[in-house]
Amino acid sequence: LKAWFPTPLPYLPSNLRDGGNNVASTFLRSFFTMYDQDRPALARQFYDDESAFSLNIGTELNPSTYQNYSRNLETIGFRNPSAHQRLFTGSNLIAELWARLPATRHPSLDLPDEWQIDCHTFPSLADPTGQGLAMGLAITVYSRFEEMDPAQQLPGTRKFSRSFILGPSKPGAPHPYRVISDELTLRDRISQQ
Amino acid sequence: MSANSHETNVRCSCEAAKNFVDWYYRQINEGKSISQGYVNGHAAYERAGHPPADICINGLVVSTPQEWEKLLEQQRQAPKQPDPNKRRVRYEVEGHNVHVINADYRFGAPQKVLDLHSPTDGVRMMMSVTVFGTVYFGTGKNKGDEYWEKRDFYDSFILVPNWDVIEKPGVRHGRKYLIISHNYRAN
Repeated sequence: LKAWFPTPLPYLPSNLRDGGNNVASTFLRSFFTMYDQDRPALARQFYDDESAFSLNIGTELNPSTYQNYSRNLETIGFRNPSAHQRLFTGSNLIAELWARLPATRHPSLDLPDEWQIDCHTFPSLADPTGQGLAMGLAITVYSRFEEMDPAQQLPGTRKFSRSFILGPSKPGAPHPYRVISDELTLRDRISQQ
Repeated sequence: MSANSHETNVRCSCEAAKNFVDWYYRQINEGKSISQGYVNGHAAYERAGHPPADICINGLVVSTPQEWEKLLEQQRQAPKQPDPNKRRVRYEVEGHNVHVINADYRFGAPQKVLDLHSPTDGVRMMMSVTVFGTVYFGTGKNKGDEYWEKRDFYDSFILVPNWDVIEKPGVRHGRKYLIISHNYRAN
């Protein structure tokens, strides 16, 4: 068969290279539990005034709440003023937006088949104390979640990808690291009857 | 307003991401090299001792961009297929997004660039770029062509300024921002 058609590359499980102290696993466990249950508390815990969040969705058959906030630069155009308006910066704005998004339920992180998580450290972030350079952690997550869309009042499922950039916190923060960047990519909704 | 959400940085990062995404997937769809888009082998970074780009393809760590090109080549193999409209692998980008993650990027930067550009000038930007779409296998050149199989794909890149070209407005070759991190998944 391979000789007849081009074939997708092999697909391996999660590749976790987070520096040996399990920051990624610990963070993601808190993150997705709190994202489903208490988004304002999540924003206060891991986000600060400089954290950025935006979401990204393609064209959908049935427009959803997400469309109003999508910062998909392919569809809105990279010179559109929305590229600025839909970049949510700071924990307060992020929490306000999250409150308007549909309620979600993510699968448990104890089910490894439900998640692909790739992460690694990288150099040359700005040190939040203003001195020198800091290491960052890039985490990309692929999974799905159940959602209840307020417009449709029907449960559905979405595949998603979420890319986090973590870096050291400013002095006085609740955790030694913070979310610098959080980019959520959503795929088409699959309705459940 | 933080430097990362400063108007100039937002505008410049969106433009840089758009140029990067258009270039990258055009090269791949045409079976051309994408190696020069990675930090590896670029003079200013090599001199300053930057590590090679971190590339992870469907969970597999790949040590060089050339090795990723070999995987792309392997993915394109269909020696028995006589119909040219069933031989191709075609990436269709459906969306992309970008955040500035360090507006004051300075690794390997020439002193004159540091002197000339403040963190709100939209030049010394380290960016996180996410891309998603569909990849079609056993298909033709054009959108809407029949295909044998398809997958959703997601790419996450971290880009940094290419100091060798960024201050040369006349330079037509070479990428303005280079990949230091690339995460690919297609499922």
